[in-house]
Amino acid sequence: MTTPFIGIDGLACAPGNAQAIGKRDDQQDSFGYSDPADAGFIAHGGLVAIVADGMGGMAHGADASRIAVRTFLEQYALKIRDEPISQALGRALEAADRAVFDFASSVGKRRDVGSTLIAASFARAGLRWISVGDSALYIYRDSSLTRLNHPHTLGARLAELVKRGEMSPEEAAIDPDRDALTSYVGAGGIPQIDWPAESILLASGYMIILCSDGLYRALSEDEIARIVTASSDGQVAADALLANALARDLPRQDNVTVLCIRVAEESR
Amino acid sequence: MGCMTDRGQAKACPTCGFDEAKPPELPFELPIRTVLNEQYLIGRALGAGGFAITYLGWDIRLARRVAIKEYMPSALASRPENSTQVVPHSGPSRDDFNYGLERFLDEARMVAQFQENPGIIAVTNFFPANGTAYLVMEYLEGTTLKEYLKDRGGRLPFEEALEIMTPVMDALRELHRVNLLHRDISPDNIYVTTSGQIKLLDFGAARQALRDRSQRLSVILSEPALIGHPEGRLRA
Repeated sequence: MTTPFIGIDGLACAPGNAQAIGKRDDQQDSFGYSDPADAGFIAHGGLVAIVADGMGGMAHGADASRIAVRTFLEQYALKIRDEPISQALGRALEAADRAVFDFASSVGKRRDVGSTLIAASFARAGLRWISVGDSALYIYRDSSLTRLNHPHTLGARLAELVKRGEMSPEEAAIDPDRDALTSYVGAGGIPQIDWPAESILLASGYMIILCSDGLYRALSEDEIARIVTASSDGQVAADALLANALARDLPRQDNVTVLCIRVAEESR
Repeated sequence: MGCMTDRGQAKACPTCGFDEAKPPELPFELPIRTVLNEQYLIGRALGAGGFAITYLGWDIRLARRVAIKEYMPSALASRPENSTQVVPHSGPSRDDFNYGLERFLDEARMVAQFQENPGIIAVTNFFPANGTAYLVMEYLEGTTLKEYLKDRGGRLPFEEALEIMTPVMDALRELHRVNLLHRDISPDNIYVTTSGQIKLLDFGAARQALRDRSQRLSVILSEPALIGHPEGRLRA
């Protein structure tokens, strides 16, 4: 059974998704796609895929990521033909930040509730995306996997210091707070946003992956690449990535969410 | 009810122009002249933040103005028309509302700890009513540091900035002494009174610092949010 294709002006995108709770008490990841049946919208807005990884005690992390995804998709759907995709992504992100912040404030947990967010729009003119936090966006092309977005973590900042020779790699590697986020959605203003101006060419055979950190903390990039190579379409890849991640049986396996979108030439 | 001075027989207040007959600006405001706790008369709403409404109030017993903050999260609850009751929406909102109410009490207790500190807003009462809770504070004439800065073109000379920030730092030292972190120092939360006093407001994000450093931090915001909320713009 093949995944239904979504035609984007000659290019076909076959999206797949898989999710698991891991060894946590709650599922705090959320994900979504824009309406794949709305060809009119896709023609100017592309198909949007989004993953969000929430944080905040009790069920509030789940609320945060769910509100982030829902608000982002609702706001992005208001895009008109004249609005550039890049601008729509930024506008939707700002709305998501405000909505999560308002929720955090209403339960008296300002600064304790928030979410990462990675959203990508697939259009014929290319892939455009926006990212906050430590969820990941990969592109698999020409037999290699490349991470496109920068993680907003203390570890990433320490890596900069190591590169500049101001810190030893050993020191950076053992910092207990290296996984702490330096930017997230829901603080009422976003400190760091990864939001490139250029679009990424999409061509037949490419696979684009959006995932929460639960995936890449369980599997190395080599392992991810190997699994993708062997997968015929997005759903097969997503299922295989999830299964392999869970098979690692890590003691504190985080929630895992993975979206895989295979790109192919639309057969006429 | 706009400034709590006697307007005599006039319809609109001669001092501040407030007209009680005009409909309320903010959704879900308490009706003007509501009496709370047999002690406080509710006046006009001073502002709302999506999860709380702050009113100008009159302390009937002590005959003085107060500011009263009401927990009223508009996403989780609403107030029926002509009623004083706050009613949480059904389902998970009810749990979230109750949770938020507990946090509001925590916030009140935290600020109340620092009554002697002149750099921190004074709290005079906290009580439940109408299905929610109310925090009664001293009423301050003045503006936030944010507005103050805007009026001054966005920049202050060093001496003046130091004059403003020194009471803030003194207040923070007191918080840190008891292992509390404010976590939301910003021009929004610093008040400059007309008499030149500086007060720290809003302890909504304050928390006990982690004593146990074996616990990892999940977030370090290493710089303050660069974009104001909600009228700021994103940085690309």
